[in-house]
Order: sequence, then structure tokens, then C-alpha cells
Amino acid sequence: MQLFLSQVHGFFMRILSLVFLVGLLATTAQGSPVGTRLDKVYKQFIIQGERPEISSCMAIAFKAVRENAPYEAITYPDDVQDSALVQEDFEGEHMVKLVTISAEGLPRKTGFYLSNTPEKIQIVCYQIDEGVPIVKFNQVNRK
Amino acid sequence: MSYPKWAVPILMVLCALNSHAQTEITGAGSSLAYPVMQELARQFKEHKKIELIYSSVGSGEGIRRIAARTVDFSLSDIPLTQYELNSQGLVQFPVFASAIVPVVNLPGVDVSRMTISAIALANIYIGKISRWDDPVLQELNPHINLPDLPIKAVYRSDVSGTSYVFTSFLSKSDANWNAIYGIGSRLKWPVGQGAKGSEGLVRTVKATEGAIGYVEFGAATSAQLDIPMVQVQGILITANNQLFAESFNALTPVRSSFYKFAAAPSGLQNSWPIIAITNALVLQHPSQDDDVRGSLAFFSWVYQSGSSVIKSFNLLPLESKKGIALVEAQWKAITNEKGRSLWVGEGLGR
Repeated sequence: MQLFLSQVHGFFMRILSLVFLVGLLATTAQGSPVGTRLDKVYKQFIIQGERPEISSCMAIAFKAVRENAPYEAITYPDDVQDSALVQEDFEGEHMVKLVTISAEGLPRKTGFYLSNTPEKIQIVCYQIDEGVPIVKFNQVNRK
Repeated sequence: MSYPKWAVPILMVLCALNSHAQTEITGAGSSLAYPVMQELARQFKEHKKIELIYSSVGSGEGIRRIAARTVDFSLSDIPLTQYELNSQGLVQFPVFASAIVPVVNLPGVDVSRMTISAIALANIYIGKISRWDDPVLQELNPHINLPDLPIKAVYRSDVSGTSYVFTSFLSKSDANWNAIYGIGSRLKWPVGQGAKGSEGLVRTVKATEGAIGYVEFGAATSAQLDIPMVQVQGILITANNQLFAESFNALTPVRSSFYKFAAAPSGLQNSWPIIAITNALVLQHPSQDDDVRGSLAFFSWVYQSGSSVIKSFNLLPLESKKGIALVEAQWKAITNEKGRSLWVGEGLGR
């Protein structure tokens, strides 16, 4: 009985979340293109004092999560400023900036599920010649 | 208190005129730049009758303030990529450069004769070398009797451009540092003690026997801190102003964003390896023309008349014609909301 109630509760919560999400998309999609929203998120990270060299990666990972990343939500740890790794190199004539950030990700799931546990992940942003960073999500300690 | 009726419109016109003339420029950022900015601001006011207020808050906070649009410009030693500049509607250009040097507080030792290799420096900050008489340091300095004293590494605890440049150097020099800690304006330093701002780092190193830190050359010399020689790929390099200037002049920007500078392949063999380039950030499309015009007038004056002041602070002015031409090209892209260029000067550096 408890399992049944929990399934019903989960179902209604998911429907409710979907309604909110559709409402949110309807209100934001018209006035602000994705690029502008991304710029605002990036600006927000800068204004809250995150390291300038990692803030664009943090923002672009959020954008990927809103779209089709394997995670539907990500959480940055409190020490993200200190723990993020920034590396630079040249690949031939191309300048490459690599940003690696440890975070927690909530896996994107389809269909019915009872629980969704966050996983430890690594967000890797690969930026070539100062262009738009390409973001990848790697699960840590996948067995 | 009563006014004659005819005075009201005159006062209103005077107030309106005053609100449109920029009499004050505000900037914030790099603490390394603070002493020279104070002097440049003083001279600019003397010549142009415009007040410039610069706050020494560190490069990270400077970027934060220009992003929040609370200052007219910021100065930062942490470069932003073209993508990041576009995202925030900013233009970046170099104003001057400086040499970052290691500084040591080791009483009884002639530090000017002492050598620290780039890899040893990385290992000191990793914690692998923790005493001054470590065999690695002793081998580099066979002519000096190094003391049996713990090494107290000091780093910047704030988001710092100097840390960004210093850790870029450590990353280039040591694969282990690059793999674990990389480049950072702020890091989880494996060992040592944090100090806020250049001033804080200088104070901490001066007050701590056995300390090592990193700071801009002018700040190190004004505080009479000892600077060792640095060995990079077997070449021994002594810190001095002429070498810094030659090293800076041998660098050219990789792209118009000024994100990165690189030495020509035929460049100096013994160039100073830790050069910080202090960039200004201004809005590319300000909502009010005066938000940027005043800043451009100031920097134009710096390029034309500020070199001797910059040099007097042991900093390196941007003097290459190619560099200044690139800056001017960037300025031409600064426009108001109507698309009108806000830079109407006839040429920089003339």
C-alpha cells in the first residue's frame, strides 16, 4: 500500500513539475533567446564572485542541462572555486583551454521511476581558439 | 528660505549641463596596478581636470564590478577569452605589463646569488620541498650554505591576477603541477598560508622568516624583498628592468582579444618567464556614451603621456606600434546604442 501511495505521489509530482516547466518555457521562450539567458547565467556567476576563468564553463554546463545533457540538474560544490582545474595547451596552431569541474548531477531519466540519486560527475569544457566551449559530462567512478 | 522665480529655470539648466559632463571616472581591479594608477590619476586630473577614482580590489573583483556595471572600467591581470568578452559585451586591451618575481625572506643568506629552478618552485608550492636545506635546493646553490629552516610558502587568498600568471608559469614548467592544480586566480593550494592582495602578501613574507611568495617586481623592490635568480630549462635568469622590457617587447598578442601573448620562435632565449599583462575592460556598447568616453580619454592619455610614470613604478608601458594599432582597432568597435563609434581620437601613441 505504501509503495502504491508513493508511486501515485511521484506521478502527481512529475505531472505538476511538467506543468510548471511548460509554463516557465512559455514565458521565457518568447522574450529571451537562449544566448541571452546563457549570458545572464554567466554574468550571475561572475557577479557572485566565481573565478573568472571557470565561470563560462559553469554557465554553459547549465545550458546543456536545460537542453539534452545526460543530467537534468547539476549542483556545484561549495569549494568549486578552489577545486576546478584549468589547463591550457596548443594543439598544432590551435589554442585549447580545458576546464574540469567536479559536481553532482541528477541523471536524466525517462518513464516511471521511484527515486533519482545524484551522481558525482566531472564537467569538462573544451574551448578551442577562444570560441564557444564544448561541454562534456563524465560520471566519476562508474563501475 | 525663498528664491526669486527667475532663478529656478537657470538652476535647472545648470544642473542639466552638469549631469552630462563627465567629471569623474571610476575604475577598480588589479591591486598590482594600484600605486601607478594613483599617480596616473593625479597627473590626469592635473592635465585634463577630470577626476579618476581607482579602487584596489583585485582582478577578480574588478571583473565582477564591470560585469555588474558599477564602474566605468576595470583593470585585470586575468585575461578573458573572446567568447567571454562577447558574452558580457566587453572590450579588453592591454595597458601595461609587469614582471612577477619570487620573493624570499631568508635572513643571513645573500638571496640575490641564490637560484631556484622553475620545477623546484613548483615543488615548494606542492609541498615536496619543505625545507630550505633540501638537497634539490642545495644542489642548485652549491656556493651557499642554506639554513635548516622550514619553507613557509605564501600565496594570494583572493581571486588574483598575479596568482593566475604565477600558476600559468608553474603549469608550463611542471607537468605534475599542471595535472593536479593547473592555472588559477584562486586555488586549493596544497601547502602554505594565504594573504589578501599584493600588500598582504608583501606584509606576510616580510614578517615570516623562511617565507617565499610571488609578487610584482615594483612591489618587491619597494618593500626591499629579496629576489632569487630563476632557472628555466637550464638557463639562469636574473630579474632586472631591462630584461623585463625586452621580454615584454618580444611578446605579441595571439589574437585581437589580447587573451594570450606569445613569444616569436626567434625570441629571447633568456626572457623573463613570468610577465603579467594588465588589461583594461570597458563596455562595448554602453547605454550612455560617457560611461566609456572618459575611460578611453584616460587610456589614450596613458598611451601618449604615461610611459615615464609607468616606468618609474618598474612597470612596462605598451610602446610597440603594432600593439597600439591593435588597441585602436578594438576601440573603433566600441559604439553606442545608435551604432556610433565612441572613439573619435585621431590615433593613439602619436
